[in-house]
Amino acid sequence: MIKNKTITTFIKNPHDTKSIINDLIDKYSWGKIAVVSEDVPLMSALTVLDNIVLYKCYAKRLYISKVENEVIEFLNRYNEPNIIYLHKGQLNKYQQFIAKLARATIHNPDVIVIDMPFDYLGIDNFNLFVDIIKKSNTDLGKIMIIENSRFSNLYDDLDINKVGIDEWLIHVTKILS
Amino acid sequence: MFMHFIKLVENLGQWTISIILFFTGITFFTIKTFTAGLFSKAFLNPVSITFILRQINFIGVELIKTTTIVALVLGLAIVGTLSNTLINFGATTSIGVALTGVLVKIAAPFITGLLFIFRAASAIFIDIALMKNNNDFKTLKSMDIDEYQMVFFPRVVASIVSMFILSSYFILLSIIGSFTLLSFQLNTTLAVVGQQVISALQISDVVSFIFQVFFIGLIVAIIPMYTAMEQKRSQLWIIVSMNKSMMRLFYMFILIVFIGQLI
Repeated sequence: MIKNKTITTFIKNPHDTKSIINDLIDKYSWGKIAVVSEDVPLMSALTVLDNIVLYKCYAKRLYISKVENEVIEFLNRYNEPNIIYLHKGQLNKYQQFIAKLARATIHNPDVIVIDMPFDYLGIDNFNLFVDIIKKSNTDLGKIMIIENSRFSNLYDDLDINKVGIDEWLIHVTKILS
Repeated sequence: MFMHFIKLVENLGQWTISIILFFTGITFFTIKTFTAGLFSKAFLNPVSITFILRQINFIGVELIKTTTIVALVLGLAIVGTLSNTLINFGATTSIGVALTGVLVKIAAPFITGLLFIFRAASAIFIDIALMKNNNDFKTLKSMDIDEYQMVFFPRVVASIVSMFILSSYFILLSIIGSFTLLSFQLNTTLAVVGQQVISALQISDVVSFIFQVFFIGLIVAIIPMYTAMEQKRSQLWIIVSMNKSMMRLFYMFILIVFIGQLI
């Protein structure tokens, strides 16, 4: 039942997420769990394209040009095709988020963790995030969200599973094991 | 008086320790960079190759215009002055030996090295310092990508390759330009003067040239990267560390050129 739905947990102390995310990153490879978080920034010296494909090309020994079309296709889906050759400093918060989402999804990991999306996107861009989540069950694979409990009401209209942090971690472990 | 002496000894000791620490640190950093670049399972990874080529374009190709101008102006000035002096002293037969020695052993590595330091070292330092300040290395760590292999090694290779190409280009331009001038002064052909130069070229000149070019290329990348990685994560430290990096680089540059002349 849960399998195709986004699983979201709301935590009271946002500072806790840092250690949760770091633990997950240390424990599992990026190939299995990819994270969209302010704590894992886009690399400032690289273009959006390089940032998105860096892991995939490194892990699968591919030239960047070979996966460029995949990136263009992804960015087109979110109406942001023009950011492909821009650098981090030239992007707004939403565009950075899309770039990170693309970076997390392009190599088809088992789990995509989105860390504190509201803190990241703010009220102006949050509707766009809601649209992404609505489409995500078919588009992006398994999404797991950690959100500040203060913003839990913003998720009321979404068809997602809300669970406690312990259960959330159990789900992550189950998927990855 | 005694207190001044103690203070002097203290300072001297501190200075010696910092020099030893610097050389130890930079040696380990260099070894780690080459080991990661050459002996890891990701050797010749397409991403790594792409980054090396980009760095060559960024560091080297953009310096070609400046090198062309400097080689023509300084090359002609050096060769013109030297050849005039030798002609005045009636030592026209020594022109080939003197000019080859000056160009290959001193002028090319020294002038290209200076240009290279101005252009590449500061750019590499800022690049790495900003990466550190922006927490970019955390991203690489998250992806389990070795920063030595993906960030440092491509810059070192690009720096050495660019330095070698630019120095050789400097020599070529200086030789062509200056010997065209000489062929008019000595009423001889370019081919004859060229022949004189090639026959004057000694193995020690070539070894000295390769030694200087390799090590200048190496330090131009290694010292700024090492210094940038040493700094704390703060914008103020970028400025302080950049001065430190340039001074370290300058002393090492002089040392390499000096050793190069002893070969």
